[in-house]
Amino acid sequence: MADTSTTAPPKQPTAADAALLSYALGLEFAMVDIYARAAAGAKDDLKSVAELFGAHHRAAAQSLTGLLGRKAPTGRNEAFYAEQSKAASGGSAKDRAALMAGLENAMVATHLKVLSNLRGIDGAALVASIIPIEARQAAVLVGLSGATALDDIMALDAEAAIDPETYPA
Amino acid sequence: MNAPMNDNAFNRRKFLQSGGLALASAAILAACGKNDKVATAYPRIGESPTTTGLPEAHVTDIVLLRTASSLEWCAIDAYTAVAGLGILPGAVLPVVKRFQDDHKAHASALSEVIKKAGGEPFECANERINTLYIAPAVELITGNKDKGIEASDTPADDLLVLAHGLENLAAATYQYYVSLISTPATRGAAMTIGQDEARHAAVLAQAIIPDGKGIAPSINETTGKANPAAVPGAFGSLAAISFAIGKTSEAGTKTQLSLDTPSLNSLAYEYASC
Repeated sequence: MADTSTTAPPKQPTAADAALLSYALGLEFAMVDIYARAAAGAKDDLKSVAELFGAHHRAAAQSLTGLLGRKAPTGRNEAFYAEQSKAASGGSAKDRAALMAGLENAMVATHLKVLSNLRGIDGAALVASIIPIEARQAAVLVGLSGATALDDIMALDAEAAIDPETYPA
Repeated sequence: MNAPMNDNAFNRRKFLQSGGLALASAAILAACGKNDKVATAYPRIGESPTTTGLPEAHVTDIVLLRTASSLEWCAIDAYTAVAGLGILPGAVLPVVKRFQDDHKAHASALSEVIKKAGGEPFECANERINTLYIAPAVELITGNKDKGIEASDTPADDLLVLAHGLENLAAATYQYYVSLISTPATRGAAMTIGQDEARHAAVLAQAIIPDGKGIAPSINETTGKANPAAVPGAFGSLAAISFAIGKTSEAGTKTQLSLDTPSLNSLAYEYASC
């Protein structure tokens, strides 16, 4: 059967979209702060990478805020930050890179889940522009963690998506 | 006394004369054409062949997914050709093999999504992308005596740069199509593949510029152009993908190529087949 859809999707986020995007925004805010902690305790390559990637998460948060307008949350996901931030500032550079790679992969999986449920085109297009960058960041961090296998670099676990039940907004 | 009549004036007599001439001409033409096959058509010399127009085509989710599939097949074929040239160092060949396998898996996944949506999978390369982008790029690397194209002086590096460009093109295509695809689940399926292409590009950028220098954006001091970067910005770009390959000129520059995501004239419409 050919595509028989005759109703164009909405441009603006629907109410359900806004809830999904708000959750993603809280996680982006948390990632900004986690990267700030990681950068503070890092040196050389990892420090500059943490600063750069943290800035990318800030840009993502700003764009999501712009899209959501007044409805946008202004704070990070506290539960997520509390659980992940300590490890980000401790351990060796490779350990920290491995942790951040895991978080980036979790963000990619989360954004893919969000994208698969968004109806509005504007929100979908924005999330689709964030996903490839966070995937690239994950690939770089896997390399910095010392892993060289392509299986590790390409690994994306859909089950790793950050769950609102585990980390409520 | 009446004023003398101007010879150029279009008076009533002349109007009737010209009108009469037009009517007479029409009557003669009509009479001549009575037994002609094209009596109602304009007079012409010779017969024109009949033409068949392209079928009416709409840009549907299925068409976009078929086009994405055609791009995957472009990548599969390109990696086969690249590996067959014998130019790449042995250490890179497992990467080529892995990425090619990934593209095969993507094509297979897309075929399933297309079938599920009621469409016919498109399991061959996009001819227009091959003709416009890939074939000319390969010629710049391997050379073509008939066209007076000299081979690149850095073919292995150029092949990696081309592969990086193609992976970026694939990633940008999926990202762009999200704004055109109507169903949320299909958008998610598209970007699940798109993020894979982005990872490929990140790996290749670091192979081209190693030792951590290929992570962030940088500028080539000789050409003033952007170097390949694993993470080129805060958002996936939909701008044209530019890169330089081929024989280095006396000025130290190479031929600049630019790739754009497949648009209306390069889509795998539902009437098209391999």
